[in-house]
Amino acid sequence: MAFRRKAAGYLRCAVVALLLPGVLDAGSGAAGLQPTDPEVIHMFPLGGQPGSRVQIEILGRNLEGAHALWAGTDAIQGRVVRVEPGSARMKEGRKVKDIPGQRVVAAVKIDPGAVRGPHALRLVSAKGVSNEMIFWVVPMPTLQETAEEHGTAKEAQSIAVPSALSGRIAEEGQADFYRFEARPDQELAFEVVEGVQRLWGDLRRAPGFTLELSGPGESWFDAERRVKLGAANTAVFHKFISAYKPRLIHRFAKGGSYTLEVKGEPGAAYQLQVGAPADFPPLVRARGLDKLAANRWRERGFTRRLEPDRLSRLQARSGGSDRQATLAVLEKQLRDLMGLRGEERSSGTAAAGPAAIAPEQEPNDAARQALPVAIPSIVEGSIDFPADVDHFRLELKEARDLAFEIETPERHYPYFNPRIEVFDQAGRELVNNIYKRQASQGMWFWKTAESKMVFSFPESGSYLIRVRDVTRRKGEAGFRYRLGVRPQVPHVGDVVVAEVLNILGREMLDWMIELDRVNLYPGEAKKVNVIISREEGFAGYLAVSVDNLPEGVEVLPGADMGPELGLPQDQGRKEVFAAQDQVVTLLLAVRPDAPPTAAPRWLRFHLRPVQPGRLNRYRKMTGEDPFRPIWEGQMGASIPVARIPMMVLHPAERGPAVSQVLAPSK
Amino acid sequence: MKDRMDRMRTGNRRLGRIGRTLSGSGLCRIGLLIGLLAWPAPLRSAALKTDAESSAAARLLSVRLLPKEVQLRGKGAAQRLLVIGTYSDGLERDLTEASRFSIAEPTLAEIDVRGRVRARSDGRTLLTVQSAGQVLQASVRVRDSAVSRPLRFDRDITRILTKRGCNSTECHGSVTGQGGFKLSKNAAAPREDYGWIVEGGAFHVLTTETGEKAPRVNLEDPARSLLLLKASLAVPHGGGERLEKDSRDYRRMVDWIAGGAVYGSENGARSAPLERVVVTPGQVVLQKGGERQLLVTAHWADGAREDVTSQVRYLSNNPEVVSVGPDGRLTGRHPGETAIQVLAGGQSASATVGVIEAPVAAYPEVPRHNFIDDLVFAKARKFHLVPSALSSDAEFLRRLCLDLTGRLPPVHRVRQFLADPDPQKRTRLIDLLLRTPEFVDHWSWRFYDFLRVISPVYKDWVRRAIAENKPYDQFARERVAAQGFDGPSRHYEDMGGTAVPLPQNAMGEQVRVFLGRRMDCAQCHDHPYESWSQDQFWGLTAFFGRLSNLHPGFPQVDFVIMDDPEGYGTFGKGAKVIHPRTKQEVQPSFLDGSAVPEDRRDDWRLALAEWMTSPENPYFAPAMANRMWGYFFGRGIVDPVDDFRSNNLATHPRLLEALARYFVRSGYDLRSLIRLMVESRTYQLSGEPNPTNRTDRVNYSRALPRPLESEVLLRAISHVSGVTGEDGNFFNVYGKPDLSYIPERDMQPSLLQALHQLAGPTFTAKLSREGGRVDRLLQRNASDEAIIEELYLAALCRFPTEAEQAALKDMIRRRDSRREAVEDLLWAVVNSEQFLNNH
Repeated sequence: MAFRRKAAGYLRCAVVALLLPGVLDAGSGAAGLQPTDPEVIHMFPLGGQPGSRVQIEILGRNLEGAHALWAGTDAIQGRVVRVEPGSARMKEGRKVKDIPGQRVVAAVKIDPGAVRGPHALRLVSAKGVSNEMIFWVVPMPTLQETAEEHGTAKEAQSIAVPSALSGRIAEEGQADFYRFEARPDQELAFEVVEGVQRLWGDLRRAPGFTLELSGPGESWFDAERRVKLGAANTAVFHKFISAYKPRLIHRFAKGGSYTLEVKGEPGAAYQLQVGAPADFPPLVRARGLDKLAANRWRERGFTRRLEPDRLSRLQARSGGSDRQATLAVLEKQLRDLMGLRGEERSSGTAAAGPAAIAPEQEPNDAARQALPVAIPSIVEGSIDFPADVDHFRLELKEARDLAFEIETPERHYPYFNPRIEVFDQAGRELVNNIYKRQASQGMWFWKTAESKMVFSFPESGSYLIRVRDVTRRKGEAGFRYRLGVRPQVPHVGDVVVAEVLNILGREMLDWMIELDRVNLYPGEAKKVNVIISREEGFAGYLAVSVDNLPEGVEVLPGADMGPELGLPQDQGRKEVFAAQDQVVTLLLAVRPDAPPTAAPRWLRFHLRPVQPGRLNRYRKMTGEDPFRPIWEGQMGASIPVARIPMMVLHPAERGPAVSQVLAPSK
Repeated sequence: MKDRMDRMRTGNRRLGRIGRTLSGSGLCRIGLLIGLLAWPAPLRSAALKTDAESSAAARLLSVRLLPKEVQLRGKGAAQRLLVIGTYSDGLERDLTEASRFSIAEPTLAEIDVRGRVRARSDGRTLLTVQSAGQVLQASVRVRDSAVSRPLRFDRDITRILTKRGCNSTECHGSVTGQGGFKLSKNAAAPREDYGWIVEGGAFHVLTTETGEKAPRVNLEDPARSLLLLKASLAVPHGGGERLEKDSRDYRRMVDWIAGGAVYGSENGARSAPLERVVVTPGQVVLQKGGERQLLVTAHWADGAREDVTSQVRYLSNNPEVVSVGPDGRLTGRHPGETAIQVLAGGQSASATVGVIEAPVAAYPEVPRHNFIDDLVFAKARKFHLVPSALSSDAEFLRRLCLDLTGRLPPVHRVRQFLADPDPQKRTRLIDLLLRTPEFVDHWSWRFYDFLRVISPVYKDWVRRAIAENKPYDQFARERVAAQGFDGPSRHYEDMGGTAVPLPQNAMGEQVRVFLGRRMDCAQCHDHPYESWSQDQFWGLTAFFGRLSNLHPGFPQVDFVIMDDPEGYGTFGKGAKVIHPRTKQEVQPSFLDGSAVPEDRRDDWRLALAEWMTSPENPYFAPAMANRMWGYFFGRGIVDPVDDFRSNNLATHPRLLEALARYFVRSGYDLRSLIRLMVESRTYQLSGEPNPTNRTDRVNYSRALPRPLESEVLLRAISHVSGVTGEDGNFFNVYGKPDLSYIPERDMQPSLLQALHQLAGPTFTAKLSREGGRVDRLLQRNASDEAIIEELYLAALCRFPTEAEQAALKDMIRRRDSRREAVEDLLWAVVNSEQFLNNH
């Protein structure tokens, strides 16, 4: 049976990997069912300057009765001017479709103090709250693309520098050309940003754009010849994949007229930003577009911050792991009393107090130059040049369970990939941060560089830590890192609220679809998955709670078959790199008599570790571990994990019981 | 005239036959016209004479004797002499048999009428030759004349095995051996051969297991040795009789076995190893029917020399051109050029032989531009090929633009260039084109092709390297040793798809691309035709034994290339490079067997890249010089350009060496190498043949027409028609390499292409499209003369001749529709051989 389940897991993995594009195509094209959730497909223009007013056009479906713009901040205020029938062109798979729906015209007012960068906007309609639109507040003057033909370099529309131009791609293969003047030695930044993220199969993504900068070619053959000076591409397929820089920065050796060419998916709107690099907000595409999500705990990832208070923050998510350690000692005493043998639990003793931040001191290129590091501590260093290696020494007076965490604030995958190796005194490598996932027959599926690893040092001694890039060709001042070395703290790691879980599991794909919005009619219920990562051996009880519920909405414990997590592919030294995931199923149930909500409400999801408190009783039973203590708990502090907008819809607006059935498309 | 008719028939066959339904006969006439006038008439044929007639007619200028000094060592040692006459017609002829030989002191050595000296007793004497009224002398030194030279395996027996073909690839030298008995090809691994003979055992390709061992020699009764019983067909032998029982070689084999079947110097035999064998002369020119004798000399490390002319194996690469007898006698069969391979038991050498119809009586002085011309013209002179005249400006302009930029020049540039009286205008044009973005386009495309560039980041890197003229050694190092995510590292992704390529595949491609060698066969066994051993293959492969990648997660694309100390690959747990026969892990080793330097032990691929691109590497610079030569001259000096091997010899080895030296000295400057080539007179020769070089295909004595590659052809048609796009399935018809594999361009014409030229949109709709060149000319009401002129200038970079103008104007005038007539004219032009080729 186990074999069959394993085989089925592999098969599904392979089939999904191979057929995914086809599956997505088929899914988007063959359905006879029409979703009812309000969905914004395009927005135009995509932003404006602080203190300005902008009229925007929103295209989408299920937007009937749209009556409000809902922003996550006071900096942006908007109102719906009118709603009329319309259609949105978009590409799904290889097909370009005109989706029948609505066109909403809205007026947006940008506060003079609005922060530059992306802001979230949602549309509220009779069918609920829409997906997120990204409205870009830019410091430079804004303009729109001309109605004149500008599809070739010769016809390029002239734009000023700096400026933020809003345009859109009407047809498949269309290119928009813009011309600007640059001064000698002027450095300019260029970026094309988009405004709406929507679902494409399993992926939440935005339509991508390519941007190409070209200049005079000085050709003997063709006086009009342009030569490519650089390119950028925002077609994000996967959160990590960034084969191209989304932002293009170029220093012009010669002054003159230069051309920008924008290409993208049909129907999609874009904003082309041109200006001094300092005018641009920090890059937001490190994780696709999800930077707009509320700040939440990030256990892993090379860009999460490692601060001196890291340890205390971990302890805040531990549910009293110190207390658990104390209880472990008590348990041991009880076992001894009862004459029972049992495994000793690893001591997750966490030293109190902040970790000191110590700068790396060169030279430390050789093992003999290794700098001593304390526990806990954070070392700041950099791989300054190709093949640079930094060494650190760790002195342990006893066996310890330690965690190593690394942050690369400036450059990260695929450019800087730190390799951390730990050696014993004999020069044997004990552990490194390259996670080699294994499948059957000892095969590796793939390798990743991990930003965190845990290791149990079996004995005291002097240990060498080596940090370098996985390559020997890369290294520069921007290859900065923070290496944290600390005791292990059993705690709650990442928590994700999702509506769909991919069968392949989070560890492999991270393709679960996070919950974006909830729109329910009275009498309906929605299943919600809360995926909780248990880190560093955290074994405590956990309670999930949701508050700020609209009137008539309740949260009920649920049960679901759920996905198979922890497939055989996710093996290797998983215990070093991965948390233990656990899925909690909840049901958001709306009472039949619940009143509709006038505006979206933020559902606030919390997690509360349950601290062991009183030893109520214990049992001596048969079996391998006959000791059974029963501890009664105490509710710990609440940990906020997510907030999601929800609306209870008016029953009168309800359509057919399940969905509207459309005639098959010809 | 015959030439012209031939060309017309072949070059304009489609024009003559197919035409278009609207105007078949008119097109036919246009085709004929272009065909007739496109290729200038050849020079008047010279009267040809036979070798005997030529010899009689030519004046003997000098006579020389080979070798100049005779060394005889050991009992019965002998040396063959050659007497060579040099004639006023530029040919050398063998006078040995017509010469008289004498020895000053006959007690020391004897000489027969065929010029063979044999040792008698120790001492020094003089040898005299009388030939064609001249007297020549050579010193003779005899040593150890009473000492019988003990036979040894590594020298004497391997030579017999080679001479008799036992270790040829058709016999036991094949990759699998024959009947379990394996010999290395041409005794490349004599130690192993010795083991199979003296110790016995059966050879298996995939394992070192040999089974039960039974020696193939019988020390007690040498004549009963299996080795001899098989070779003499005393027992059944699939290879037939290889050693006659009474032959000298048979007796020597028996003596060797009787003497204990020793390998080397165990019995006191001379221990100095054989350094090389030399063939004299290395370059031979024969008139058809003429004969020459080769002399093969073994050179030992202690300075001793030995005549082994009758003890080696001769192979003609093209017996249709030159045949060679077992004793090294050459006979010219048909005009052409080929190589004679000489295999001498672990060593090999070769001689280049050209066969000419007749010598050129008064060879003209040919001007030179640079050292390329010196080396090309010297050989042409020796082979009696008179280089064609310098190309016309129009010919040069078109050729240069196509070669440097892959496109035709605009009409106004053609007019400008043709009218420019500056004698330096060709050099100026070369400099100018080397700086154009179109040069970068074209050469980036060329590099995309041979480097299999697919991913956009990789493309950008290559393009930037071309634009910046990155030194080629640096370029190669960056590619071979690439790590990380940027341009050069992407080629490992392009090669491997969703995984890094296997080490053996990665190595094979790098060696082929940068060293011009194909080692792939040695993966499973010693290379069947080359000296690459399986050990060398896996030694080089092991440099890629850590090639690995880092993923961002799923899906497995856009990975980071790295070297993982734990082993190679995406798949496989810490996979190591394992030798398929020994099943042992292989450590990286260079071709000479040396290991990775200490300071590179953590960076194997960088070590390999540095070795590959070192100025001392004998393969790197010649491989690229040869590849570049191939682009400009239609064939490599070694051809195919990535197939250097001992039986695929360079047509101009000294030229290749010189180009490689130049390339290294220039700092591996590709543009400098390109400039050198296109500035040479050799490159700038006309395509017009003369009677001496009409059949020449390999000596660059004239420009050979080269079919335009599909991408270039399409661009040229777009240029002439003034219409881009509408190309339908052009590349399906004309081909485009599949970069998933090492690309091989198929330049052979096909029936599909002929049909496409007849009715494909590229050759029909594109030419008559509104807004195109024809349309614009007609719209502005250009005269017939102006239209003809512009089409000629656009397509052929030359003005039409008066005859062409007159005939074409007449044709247009007599057609009902002027538009159709002009469209047909353009159709005929782009279908002409002049247009379809770079010439």
